[in-house]
Amino acid sequence: MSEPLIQLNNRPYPFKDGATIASLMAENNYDFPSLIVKVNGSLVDEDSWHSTVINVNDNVEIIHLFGGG
Amino acid sequence: MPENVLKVETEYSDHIPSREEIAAMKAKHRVLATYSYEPSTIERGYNSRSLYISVGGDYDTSEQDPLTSSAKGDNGVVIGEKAVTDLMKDKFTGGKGFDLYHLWKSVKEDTHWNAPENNVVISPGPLAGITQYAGTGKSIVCSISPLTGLPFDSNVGGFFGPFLKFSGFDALELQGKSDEELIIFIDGNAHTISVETAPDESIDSHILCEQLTEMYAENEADKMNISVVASGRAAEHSYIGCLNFSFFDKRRNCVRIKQAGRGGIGAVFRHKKIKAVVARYRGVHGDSNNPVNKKLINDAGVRFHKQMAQLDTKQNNMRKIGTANIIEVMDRYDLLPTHNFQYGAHPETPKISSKVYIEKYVTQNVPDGCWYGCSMSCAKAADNFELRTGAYKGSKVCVDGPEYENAGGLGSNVGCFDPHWILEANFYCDTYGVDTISHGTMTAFAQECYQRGLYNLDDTEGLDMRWGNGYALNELMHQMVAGDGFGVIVGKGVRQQKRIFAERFGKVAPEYEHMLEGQAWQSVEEPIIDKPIPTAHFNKHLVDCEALKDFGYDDEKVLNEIKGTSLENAGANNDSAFIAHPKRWEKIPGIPTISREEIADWPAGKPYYSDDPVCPYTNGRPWVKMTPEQVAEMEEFGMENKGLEYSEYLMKESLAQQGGYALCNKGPQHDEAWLIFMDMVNNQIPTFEDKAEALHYFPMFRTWFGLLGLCKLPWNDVTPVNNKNEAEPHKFPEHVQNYFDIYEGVTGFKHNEASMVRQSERVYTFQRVFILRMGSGMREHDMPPTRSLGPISAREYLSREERYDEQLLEKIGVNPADMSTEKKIEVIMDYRKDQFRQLVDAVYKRRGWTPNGIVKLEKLIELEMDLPELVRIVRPHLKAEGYWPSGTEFAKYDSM
Ligand code: SF4
Repeated sequence: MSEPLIQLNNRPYPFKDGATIASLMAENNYDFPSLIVKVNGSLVDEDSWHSTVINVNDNVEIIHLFGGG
Repeated sequence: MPENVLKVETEYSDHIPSREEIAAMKAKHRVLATYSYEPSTIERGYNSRSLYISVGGDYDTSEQDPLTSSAKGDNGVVIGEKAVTDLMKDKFTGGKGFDLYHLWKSVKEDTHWNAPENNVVISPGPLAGITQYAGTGKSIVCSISPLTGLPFDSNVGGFFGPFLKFSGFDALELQGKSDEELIIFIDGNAHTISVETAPDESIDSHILCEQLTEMYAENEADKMNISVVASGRAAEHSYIGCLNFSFFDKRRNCVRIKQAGRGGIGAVFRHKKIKAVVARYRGVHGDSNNPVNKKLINDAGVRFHKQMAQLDTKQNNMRKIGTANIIEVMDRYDLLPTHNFQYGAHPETPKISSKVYIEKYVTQNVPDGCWYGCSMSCAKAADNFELRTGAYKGSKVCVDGPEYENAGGLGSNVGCFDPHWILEANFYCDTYGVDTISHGTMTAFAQECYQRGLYNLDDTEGLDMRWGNGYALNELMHQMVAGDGFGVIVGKGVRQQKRIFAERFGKVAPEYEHMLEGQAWQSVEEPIIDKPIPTAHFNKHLVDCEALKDFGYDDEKVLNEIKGTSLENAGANNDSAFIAHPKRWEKIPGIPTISREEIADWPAGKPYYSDDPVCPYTNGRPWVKMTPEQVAEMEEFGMENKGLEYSEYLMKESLAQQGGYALCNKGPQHDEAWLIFMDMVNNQIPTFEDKAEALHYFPMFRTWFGLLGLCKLPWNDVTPVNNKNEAEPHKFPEHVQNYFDIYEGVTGFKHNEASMVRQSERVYTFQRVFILRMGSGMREHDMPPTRSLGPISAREYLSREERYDEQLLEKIGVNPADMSTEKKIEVIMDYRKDQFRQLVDAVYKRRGWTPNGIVKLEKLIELEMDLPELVRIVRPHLKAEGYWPSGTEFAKYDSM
């Protein structure tokens, strides 16, 4: 059986049981201050990043808003 | 003044001249020409006239728009006015558009940067000078660049642009060449302009701007109404001269400067022997721009100021540290260029993080806007900064910065992680008139060549060019000021360095060794790249042994060695130290002297003498050409395109940004497009078509700022709360709407995205045709150095081996398991080069260009830019490429 996955920014990414948005961010060093997070197209507010658990096959978008100097 | 805003206690008295000194300087001025003009009323953002000044010299002006009135003075000086026509407003808008319009009419296809007809044009744009919204005081400067030979645009803050506009002019042209040092004074209240000789004033900006502010202000309060444009001494001997635009900071009681940094326009300015342009304008107020609908502007301003007050501390901290807030962010995302763009991060980055600057250097709680009303206030400064080296050693100065680019260019990219040194270099770059970005990138290139063993200490006259040798880097700048030594070669930029190194710094081939008659003048060195500096070679210009300790040289043995050398070689000046390295060569009989033209066919490895004045060493040294392999090696990591040095973001992992840099009309500056997060991290533009769309929209949108007199930073350096709900949050639609409101408020015209893009695309397309006219602007000119596309050495590959191996497997479909590192590099780079080719195809198509990068006639017609001058430039190229359209509707373009 193939490894369970999620989509992170439209790329396959290994699913981990119990992973949250916050843990996913930490794992990827995503600590930029202006971020938009969507799971399966729905916005997730910053207050919920620690409590939102990621499920297998979820489509997670963590959008960095920065346009350079 | 709000309670928490400080008045800064400063000790700058050592460079503020006394009244007597100022009076003595002024008494030496000789007025060459004066001109009085009628006041004008700004309507819909325009005065409808521009100011023209020729500082002398003989050149053809027959293609230029006529002067509507003028005055001639001594030494060939002319001051006059030109009309700003409806065609100009319609097709070129203002700012960069007006600059390029005038520049086109001033120059010919073969105009060199130092020809008298080259023009330095400054224009603020129709929105510039608003005080109700953030970031509305910008000017754009254009000229033919010494680095690229092409029209170049550079944007800058400071008060000059708005003062020029409120004085009555939408643009200023500076043409000609003077034999004497000049100052131009625009008195916007008296409506007079004078051109005066100025023999005694300083050339270095921090002194000169103080002197002229004192000289032309009527009293203390009037200093706020003075702005000076100046450069510096290093601009006279390098191609990377910047222009400084001043404003008086009354909280610090000193003059501050902002830079039009890129492209070497300061070198053009100094070549014309213009010391400064001074504008005085008293009476800026909220209606100075005479807006059609002030409420629209006020409302947009209130919305933005509230966001800054509520969000900045939670987001980018622009008011505390400015653009330097991203130093550590770039490092974490592997984007901080390190050791000449080899890597994107470094373990020592925390030493130069924004936190360090906030805590130790940058003055806090001062609203640091570079024009009235900028609540983003990012123009931070380090006050009372005591200089440890160089001509101003011991002075306490106000350093404008640090900006992110300076930390990248003067810090990580040259391997220097000392925050003091970065600020010190920042100060000297500014006051000597040097672009910090080009200085960083070209120095990093010279360092890498040295550490690869492509040249050695003999070639640098003793400068140890290893990563992180802050003193050597400082010395380069001092040599540029002196016009002497290796720094003069470095200061010509990466493209010229490649040529000069290739012509001069080769190794003698065995078959020619006999020509040297036993004079073993080449110490062949092992490549030493990335090794730490075990000791230091120092040089002629003022190195303070005590200060060495602050730069990490606390080994007593090294210090004693340096001190001893200092006493031996520096004569009476025991306060400075250097190792006098250069040999003075006896002229060797039998080595021929060849002309500049003969060098091309001269064999590699065979010594020759040259009398080419480009090289400052004239001490009887024979030169040797490099082998073709060595030349090819330099091409791979010389980080320039079109002659301009890359700015300070690592682009290797973002194909879109590789294009953003290399497809930029003026050369690789990120102010057309910064797409790294959208592309590499967010993966929002996965296909070639997506990337091409981004490489159409963002360059157009960002060009728009330059047409209007706007600063880019307030657009997206604070994120509105509701931005997350927008369909295209990366465009910051709420802020874009603010800009449309301001535009309507000033001009009465209601913009939308399509009309905004069209307005920009006209000027963008014009610039593309302009660079074609000047001999660039084709596909071959948009090709980047190989390093910008990925890892070119085993060192680079192995540093991110896991990432690259994964890409081999997943993107290219080859198993890296049994491959050598060299083979892996070959495969991954072949793939990336092919990706880049496909990207270029997609972008050209989206922009309406042919596969060779030529603007199609249909595109010119669509944009209503089918002007005869442009058609005549593209026509032969389109015909040769088979893209000239047939059909009767195009017949008239055949005879234009
Ligand atoms: S955001 Fe910064 S650079 Fe832009 S106008 Fe304001 S202070 Fe000047």
